[in-house]
Amino acid sequence: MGGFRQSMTWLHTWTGLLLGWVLYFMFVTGTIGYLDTEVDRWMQPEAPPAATSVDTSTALHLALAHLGTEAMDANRWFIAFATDRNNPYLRAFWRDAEGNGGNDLLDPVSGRPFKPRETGGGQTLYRMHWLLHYLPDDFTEWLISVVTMVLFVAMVTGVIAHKRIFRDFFTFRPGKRQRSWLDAHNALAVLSLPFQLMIAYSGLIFMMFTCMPLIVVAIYGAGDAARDRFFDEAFPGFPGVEAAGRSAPLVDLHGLLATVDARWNGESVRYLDIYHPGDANARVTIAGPIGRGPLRGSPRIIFDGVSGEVLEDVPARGSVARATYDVFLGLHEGLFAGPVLRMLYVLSGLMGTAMIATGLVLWTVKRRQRLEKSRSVSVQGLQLVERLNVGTIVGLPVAIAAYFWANRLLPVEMAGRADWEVHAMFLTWAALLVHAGLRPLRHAWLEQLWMAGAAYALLPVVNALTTDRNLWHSLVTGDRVFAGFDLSVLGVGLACAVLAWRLRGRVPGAAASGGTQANPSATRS
Amino acid sequence: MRAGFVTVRSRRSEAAAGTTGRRATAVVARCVAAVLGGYGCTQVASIVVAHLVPGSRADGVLVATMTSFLVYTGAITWSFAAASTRRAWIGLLVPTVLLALPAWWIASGGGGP
Repeated sequence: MGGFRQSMTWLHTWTGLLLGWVLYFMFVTGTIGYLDTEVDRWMQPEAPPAATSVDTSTALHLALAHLGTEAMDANRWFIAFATDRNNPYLRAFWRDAEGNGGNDLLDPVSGRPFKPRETGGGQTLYRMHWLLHYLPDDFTEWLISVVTMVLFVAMVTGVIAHKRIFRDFFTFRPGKRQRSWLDAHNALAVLSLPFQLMIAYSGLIFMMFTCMPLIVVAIYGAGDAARDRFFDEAFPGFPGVEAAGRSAPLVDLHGLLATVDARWNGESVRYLDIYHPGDANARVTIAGPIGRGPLRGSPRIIFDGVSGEVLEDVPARGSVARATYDVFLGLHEGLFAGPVLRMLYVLSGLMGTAMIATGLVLWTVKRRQRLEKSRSVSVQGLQLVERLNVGTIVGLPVAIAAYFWANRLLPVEMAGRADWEVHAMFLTWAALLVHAGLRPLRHAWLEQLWMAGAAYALLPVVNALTTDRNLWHSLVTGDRVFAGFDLSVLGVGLACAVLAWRLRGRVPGAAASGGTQANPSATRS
Repeated sequence: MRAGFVTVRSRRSEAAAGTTGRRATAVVARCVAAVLGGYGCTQVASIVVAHLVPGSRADGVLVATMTSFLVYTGAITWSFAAASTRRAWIGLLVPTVLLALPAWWIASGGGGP
């Protein structure tokens, strides 16, 4: 019994440490991902306020006019309507056979494309959540799968380990430093456990065809053709037809919109996806609303793009198995969430982030304590982990602030601007990891916390100096996205500063003894 | 007195200080059992699940692939929880071998179209 829990504790400790930093990165970027389009909009201050209630038929007219002049040779047109926060602008996207194309946001009244500054936006941060950066996708998909599996195992074993810790809690009086960290780690994990388990498990489901591919192979056979057959059966409703090479006029799309309006009782259409416009084999897919629940699917109708005949009518909800799959992915992405639920998502994400961070610190505090009682612990390993902790737990948020600063400070016309925003982020992170390695540990914590405080609290100032949409203006005009962003970063900055202020004198003797004691806020819980 | 699990683990590490090498080998053996043995066991079990789930073939694959992570988690937990490395491996290999036969039969088309 004790042996079982003990080995679970061991497994939890080491799997947690091994991939804790990657998990921390995933939690931070994933949490920001719940506000991806809001960040997008803040990073493109030239874009007009979103107008999500424009008449669909007018919008279609404007988008078609734009595609008709810009993208005559394209073999795919995609028109996304401005429906809600997930897609705040009318968007026309196209691709030709060589993979070239464009993606323009259109003014809802004039239909003219507005060309905001080039930026990675919230989407680049969000994509880092599972693709990381600078690494090939194939590699990161596997890495992320392994990391997510480890997270899931660490959670399950953490629950098992916790039971014993919980009992010990009342039986003994453990050392205060460690108990405080353990306390925080446990409280965060337990409070948000349903969310964290859901996120880890649904994260695995996102990756499941990458890391568990053999089940498809066993049932459908090996090879791409067999795999495609499975995907066609499990995920119907994606036209895979080639162009005929004969031209034929595209069906009247307004007529198709009227058809779907009748079928879906006038519920908002999300997008039109047109393959081979102007070809005899044209296909038009029209997708309906995403729904108010976590069921991720939306109804789709596929039309013959010449005759307008309905070829396939895919309901939002498939078989029980498929609906289960969709619900897990829908819960993970939270696209259905309104403002209140979205805030809960962000809060749960922050708790997950803090759970990872306190777990990482707990690992070092425990070993530092043991070291002081001169038990055999590797000092070099412990120091390395302590330094990586500072440079990641505080360094990464500072790096993300640098990403936002770069968005405002890099010249608007600069070539490769979006790339350099990301470079600024990773260069900052690298600099802070070096800083954490060079400074005495207590100083590293405090200095980086002050840096984080300044980097975030000053963002509204930078915004006010570089755009005409300052915080006051946003508040007066009721610009929720800009006001929300400015106030949030201000809050994060002040929180970091308060933390740094309260920690300044808390660690006894660290500076005198060469400052290798990492223990900010140890006596607080 | 200190928190129970810390005390137990510390004493254990002191006692094992002379046999660090053997302990490391045991850890590696369990990791291999968990990661590779557990994965193999998960695959064969999930292939059988995919075949047994009612509904279409695609539904079977979806359900089995989704639940495969639960099987894998169970297998990993078992690998580290078993009293000895030997028992960990036996606990993984026995179901793997037993399920490999039907899995092989399903994969070679015995389960229908």
